[in-house]
Amino acid sequence: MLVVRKSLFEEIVGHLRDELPNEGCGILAGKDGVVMKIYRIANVARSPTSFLMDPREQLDAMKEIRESGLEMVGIYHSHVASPAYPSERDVRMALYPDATYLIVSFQDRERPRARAFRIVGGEIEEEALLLGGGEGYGDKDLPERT
Amino acid sequence: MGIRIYLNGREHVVSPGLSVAGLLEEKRMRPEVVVVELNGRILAKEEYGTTFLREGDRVELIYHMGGGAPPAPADEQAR
Repeated sequence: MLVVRKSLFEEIVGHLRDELPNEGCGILAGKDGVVMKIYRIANVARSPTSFLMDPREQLDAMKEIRESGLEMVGIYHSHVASPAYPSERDVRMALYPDATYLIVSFQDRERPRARAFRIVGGEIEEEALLLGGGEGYGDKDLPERT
Repeated sequence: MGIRIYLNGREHVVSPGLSVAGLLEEKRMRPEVVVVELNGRILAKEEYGTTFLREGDRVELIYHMGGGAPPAPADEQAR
């Protein structure tokens, strides 16, 4: 399960919208599947159909995450004109089995859709994506599912 | 006697004379999908076999993160 505070989720969507018409990407940092911070990473592919994180930015983000005592809980990117489901390329390049892959689709630009997946050994498994309204993530704060 | 390096922030002992390519092999990481930073500098892949680890080196090994949308219908037809 991936839990994202609503304000952070809006930040993710805002970042990815800023990158249109190209795909955008970033790293989700947190603990135990709860996202606490996002890192926007430049897409050096600069393409509407692919992304490749800038290695320097990726390295710096991953070191900062480690040094701050957090974990990389996930990786996010957008699909500009296709559904929020891992492509063959996404699966081939999913090299972090412990990470959740959050994909936001802008197929309908007015209503982006997001889904979360675990990709291990080429197998795709959908994970629950929960948007929390508060900081506590108690049951009452987790009413929404995208 | 091994050589002490810091691998992704953790102390790690390797054999003397081990190259970056050897370290990747030890870790079963394919060179084409990784980024290697040695003491703050990202190495070119051509340097992996000729760069040998020294006492106190700080090595960061990460996988490239990438992917993207499925091919557009026109691309599929072109295949």
